[in-house]
Amino acid sequence: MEKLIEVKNLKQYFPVSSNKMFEKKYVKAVDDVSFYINKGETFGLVGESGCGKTTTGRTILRLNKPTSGQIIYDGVDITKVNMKPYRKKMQIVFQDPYASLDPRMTVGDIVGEAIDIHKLAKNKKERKEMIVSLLEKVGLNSEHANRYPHEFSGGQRQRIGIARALAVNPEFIVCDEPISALDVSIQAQVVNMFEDLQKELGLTYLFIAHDLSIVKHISDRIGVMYLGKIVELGTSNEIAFDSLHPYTKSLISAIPIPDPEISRSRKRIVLEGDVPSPVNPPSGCRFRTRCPHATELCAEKEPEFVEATPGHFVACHYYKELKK
Amino acid sequence: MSETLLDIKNLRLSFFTPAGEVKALNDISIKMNKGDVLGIVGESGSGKSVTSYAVMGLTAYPGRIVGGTIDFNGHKVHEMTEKEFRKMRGKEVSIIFQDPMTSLNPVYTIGNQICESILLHDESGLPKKELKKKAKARAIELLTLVGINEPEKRLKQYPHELSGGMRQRVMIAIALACEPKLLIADEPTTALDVTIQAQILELMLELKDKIGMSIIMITHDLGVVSNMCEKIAVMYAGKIVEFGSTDEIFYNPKHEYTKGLLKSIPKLTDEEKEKLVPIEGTPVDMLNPPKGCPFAPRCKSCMKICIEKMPPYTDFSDTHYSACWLTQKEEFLKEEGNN
Repeated sequence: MEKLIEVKNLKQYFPVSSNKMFEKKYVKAVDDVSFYINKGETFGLVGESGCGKTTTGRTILRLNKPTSGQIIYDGVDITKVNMKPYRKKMQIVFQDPYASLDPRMTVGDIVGEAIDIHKLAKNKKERKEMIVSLLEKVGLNSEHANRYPHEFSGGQRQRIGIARALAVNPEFIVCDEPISALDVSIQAQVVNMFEDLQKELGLTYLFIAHDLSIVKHISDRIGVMYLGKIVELGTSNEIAFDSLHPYTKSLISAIPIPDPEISRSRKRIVLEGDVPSPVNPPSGCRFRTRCPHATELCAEKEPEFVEATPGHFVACHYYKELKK
Repeated sequence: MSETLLDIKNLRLSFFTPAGEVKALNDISIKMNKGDVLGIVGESGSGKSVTSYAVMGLTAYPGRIVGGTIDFNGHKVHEMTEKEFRKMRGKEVSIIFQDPMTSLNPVYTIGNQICESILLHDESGLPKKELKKKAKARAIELLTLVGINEPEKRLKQYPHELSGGMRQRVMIAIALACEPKLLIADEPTTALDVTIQAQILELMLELKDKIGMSIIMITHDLGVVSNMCEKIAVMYAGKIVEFGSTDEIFYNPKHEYTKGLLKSIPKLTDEEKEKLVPIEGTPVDMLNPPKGCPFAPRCKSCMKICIEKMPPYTDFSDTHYSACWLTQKEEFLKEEGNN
């Protein structure tokens, strides 16, 4: 397997105002994250809001300037290069299809904008043909090109957003919660479309969502994030059925399962409290304040990200003991 | 035991918009007993929120009840005036909204907002000072009940100082202030993270047993209803297309929409990767609803009659019924066979 994207020790801090003069405070949105994505694979990132999953996705596309670390795309370090040639290869689909489309542009222009910028069409006729074929790819048709975003339903708008991402024939797409704003009956349509497009065009996805059941369905491998760090990484079945980190376990047990018999018999691990502030993350293991198994060691020493079984990584001092 | 608390009969509610009449609710009937937890599921625009708002008299302009009756706890809700509603709201029925970030008033303290409904509904006739003291004590008691630590400190805080989960707890505290008989929860956990969602759902069930209230849980998450509810109403385009106990809906769904909905969600417990079966098409345009069954344009087994006539309800058990021509046909054939 060839790695398409590799992220090494990526850090993304955002400065925040502090009460004291001359003291600089940072929100450590992404703090030392490393992972890679193979060609043609879907890598899922899950976690609660504020854990840094969206920031990770945006930083990989260099929409933020990374504080430190490396982003390697297809063997080339793109951490500091001019991104223009890479914008053609890497695209993003945003969460909110109501906010991410310009209300004053027609759908044809929204999709065609990237074609214009990268000068992909020789003439007007070719441009139009490209737009129509893109719209057809995502299940819309040519007559939709002259309409405005407000004339479409949420699911259709997300299709427009996907067509826009596909306009430059990318290899890699960051899907930032692309279905969480959609109705349940529409979600499956869009998920299936992502899968079909991947097969057809050989795309690689970074799929970001907070809904673990969707991420598990679509991803080959999953990274679980908590407060700016990946706490566990493995194949989707490893994460769903043999999770090692106590946070992953509680996350899975908290997901309501649409099956009354299972949900009645299941024991839930309800976590106490809220996610701590990323400005002052807890010392040692960041999950210790909510972890039911935390000890003094967890407060003193940050657990290393170790490979428990081949390909299955976890950052917890006690994962071996907890497994029993 | 099975005392009727809420009885909605043939409710019709329309919004008279400039573009035309939108029939948001089309012949809705729901019966709820004391202590029941009823789940209403459906996509956005299916009328699930409108139904419960009607119970509280919160139908927004230009909406109007155009037919049917709502009996709640001895009140004829469809005939009540605004003054009477004010007496009932908060005391007998209260609501938790979806977004705790926007449903609390940012310029008042938490304490102020909790005490408001206690003071409004107080009938003890105590002097103002004592009443305020009493309300404050009650507010502290409520915050402890919903699991907020340091309640006295929190009373003086403003909503922006609390996290999303905490704010939703405060909302629940406000809703419970007068121990209502019915709590309407309108997507109470949609804006929250799953771990916080689990906390809130657990809390609601706990409080339900403590206070002995009934809950209407409005959600689009089938996982949440399977955890919480005993009965489920599935709504589509202003109609209840299927009604039944949780087991009946999940293990023996009769309406094509319910079946489709259940197939379209991925389950965390599935080991094999199966392709999802989506419901094709888009939700109904409520301005121009189809003449027959509203689901017909998206239905895989749509027949001729579906497009022309609205199907009547077929009963499968005391609690389970659905509106679909397919089941009508099956029942008919069964009867034919018996004869």
